[in-house]
Amino acid sequence: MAPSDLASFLAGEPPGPTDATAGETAAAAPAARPVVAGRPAAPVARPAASMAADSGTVVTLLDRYEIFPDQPLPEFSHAGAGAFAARPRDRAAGNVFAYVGRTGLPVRAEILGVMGGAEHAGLMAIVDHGVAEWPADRAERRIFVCEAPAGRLVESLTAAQAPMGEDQVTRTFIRPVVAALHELQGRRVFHGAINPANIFRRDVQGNTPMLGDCTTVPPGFIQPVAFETVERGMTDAAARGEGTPADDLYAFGVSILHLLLGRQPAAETDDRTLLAAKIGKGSYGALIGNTRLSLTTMEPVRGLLVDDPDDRWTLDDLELWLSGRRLSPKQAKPPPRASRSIAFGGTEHWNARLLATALAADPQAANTMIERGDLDVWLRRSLGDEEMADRVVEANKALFGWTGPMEARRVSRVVMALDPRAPIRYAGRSVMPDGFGGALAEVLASGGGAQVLAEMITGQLPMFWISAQQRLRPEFVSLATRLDQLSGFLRRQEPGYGLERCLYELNPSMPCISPILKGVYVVDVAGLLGTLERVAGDADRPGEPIDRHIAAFLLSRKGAVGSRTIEALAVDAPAERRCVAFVESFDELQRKAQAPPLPNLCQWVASMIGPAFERYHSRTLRDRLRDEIGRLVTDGQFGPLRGLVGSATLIQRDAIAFDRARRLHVHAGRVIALRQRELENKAVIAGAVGRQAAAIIACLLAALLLAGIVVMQAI
Amino acid sequence: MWVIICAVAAGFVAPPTTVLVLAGLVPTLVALIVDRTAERHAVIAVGTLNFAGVAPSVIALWRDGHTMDAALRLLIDPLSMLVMLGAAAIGWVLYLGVPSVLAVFLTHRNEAEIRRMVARREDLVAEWGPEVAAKD
Repeated sequence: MAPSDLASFLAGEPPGPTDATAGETAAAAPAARPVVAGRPAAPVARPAASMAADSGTVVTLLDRYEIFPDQPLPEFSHAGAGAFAARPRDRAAGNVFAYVGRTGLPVRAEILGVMGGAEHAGLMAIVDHGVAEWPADRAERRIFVCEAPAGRLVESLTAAQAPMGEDQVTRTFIRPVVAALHELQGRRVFHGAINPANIFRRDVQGNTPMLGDCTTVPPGFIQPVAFETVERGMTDAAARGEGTPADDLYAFGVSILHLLLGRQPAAETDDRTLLAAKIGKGSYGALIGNTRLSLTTMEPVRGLLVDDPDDRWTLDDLELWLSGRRLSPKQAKPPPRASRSIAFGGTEHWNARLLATALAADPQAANTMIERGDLDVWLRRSLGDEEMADRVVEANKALFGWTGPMEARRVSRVVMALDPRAPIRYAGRSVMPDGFGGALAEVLASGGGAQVLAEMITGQLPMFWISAQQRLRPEFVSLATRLDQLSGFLRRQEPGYGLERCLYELNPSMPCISPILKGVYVVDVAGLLGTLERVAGDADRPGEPIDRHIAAFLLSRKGAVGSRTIEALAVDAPAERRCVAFVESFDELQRKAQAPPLPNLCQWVASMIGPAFERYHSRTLRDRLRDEIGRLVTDGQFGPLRGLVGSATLIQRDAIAFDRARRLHVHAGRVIALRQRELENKAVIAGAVGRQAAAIIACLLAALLLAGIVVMQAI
Repeated sequence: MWVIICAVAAGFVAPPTTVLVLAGLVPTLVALIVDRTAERHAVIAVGTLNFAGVAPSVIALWRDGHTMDAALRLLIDPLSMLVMLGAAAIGWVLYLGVPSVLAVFLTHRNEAEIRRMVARREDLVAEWGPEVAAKD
């Protein structure tokens, strides 16, 4: 498969002309191509080259499903996940197919349970999900087994098709989708991927549409800009954050328009121009162009495409409209127009939102304009918005944050003051404050640099965004707390902190992407230990079993391991303390996760703990510990290992004994020196002492002799 | 000086005894002249034993009548002279011999202790590593 074909495959489009057979097959096959139990009833497409490498391979998921990597289903695929034919081993389980997620991006675990339990006709049911090794790259992927639809609603977003009649749209699309959206709202789920290419037919007749996948990728990741509100459309795809039901309704409105037009609205317009048109004319005006809609269908479309979410139609409005009541949607309010334009980047700008977009695109020139004071003059004199001018002055003065170029931060703040609802725009990135998780996941999973994102967080730009909002929402409080916490993580260099920590904190479902794990999809501590146990058995295992990713992953799993233990793994920490920290970490993990014995991992860690013995002075003790540890690793338990390596009592006793040994050594040295001095001066010493001794001996002898004489005389 | 005064005085009081003692203590007088150290160990060693050697002759003189003849007889008596000079000789032997013996003893003892301490230090280094020998 050529790269272009791969891109189109990921985008969920049918194979291009180079894949003639597949194209013909797809075109010849009916739009509604049911996947029957077992192999698909008809060939859905020629297998992609990358997938065909393992022709005939079957991937087994959870021992319940068989997935066929050589049978991709491009009509169900999208940019975040490829679709493949699948069948349940229990044939009574119904028709299914599988979504295979792109490695690295987090799934929406928070809605997985809710969506898994949804049995609404308007929602594609997730039958099961799990992790399995994918033969194309031998990496583990998250796989979702979904209820198989009969076909997709439109062939592709870009292909033109016959417009649907108003009555048909109302009857077979709006009414059932409203019911599905009711179900989502009842479950407090934001779909984030409502567009005709992700809406399928439940049956061959096509009377029941069902909303497609929304769990395999971050919200909004696969949504084209045309189907997103102005603010979310401005944002990088992975960084759109959690949306609201109103955003789903907007996408629903664009989808209705798509079906009525028979093509994607404003398909010929590039994203930047489309966003400018949406800002300038409002979404309805920008998307509908010169097309005329009947008054009946115009109402819901106009009502759903209102740019202000507070004025946008709700599901209740749609219900009323469906029941026959005619409502008058609020007219789109264009942004205030200045009496005179301001030139920037070779374009004349008449309103603040478009100017903000232009400023964000060229921060260097924007900074010059801000410093010259042109912006302030234009805001006060031409736009006449003193309040906004004051906000810009405030933004210009604010000195939040401590990293990144000050000019870039200043421009970002000024842009936020000009267009508070827009995402945070900084150094070419556009991120919603709650979209940092997705943005980080995308960047780190692809191995790209995340420095810009780090600068945004540490530069306190999200906090400024919150303070710039004119309508404060309750969720901003928790968001501000979270962002402040992230800023703290980024300031710290120890293992378990930094960007990696932010990644796993913001994405609880993110698999650990440490290279140590060799592509294994690990989302919990038990899985991590199991994977490390397998890696430990490999001949080419890395030097250490914990890197920055694993450390951050562990600390983000609350209670898995103490932060001090992980912090002690810092590269610049004393070697003996580090290796003890490894043992302590795995002991805590094994204990808390109630993991089975890990002999390979124990052996791996034991091979690293040589420096830990340096803490003991006694060579005999060291040898005995080595022998003991060699015996313990076979049990695969870290507890006894920790007891030996980190025993404070043993260390204390060793220290006391060592101190005594040092004193003995010093004493021996002194004795040796003394005796050597005596040897050197033996003649003098022997002479002095010897003569004295001779005198004493002589006195004693004389005394004895005299006593003897006296006794003899007396006798 | 005091010795001479005492000797002259004793010569007036008891001439036989004085002659006998002065003659018998000649080795001590020699030691007195030879030993110029402050401690006078040679004088002590030789003198005490020499005096002990003279004492039996003095007692015999007093017992035999305390006359000059008796004193002269004792002075020419080989046995008496042997006792007096032999005792002094023992004093000299002690004075000259003990330091040498002591030197040999010290050498053996110190060398043995040095060997023992060196071995102990080697054992300590083997058990505790070279850091046990590190100075604070």
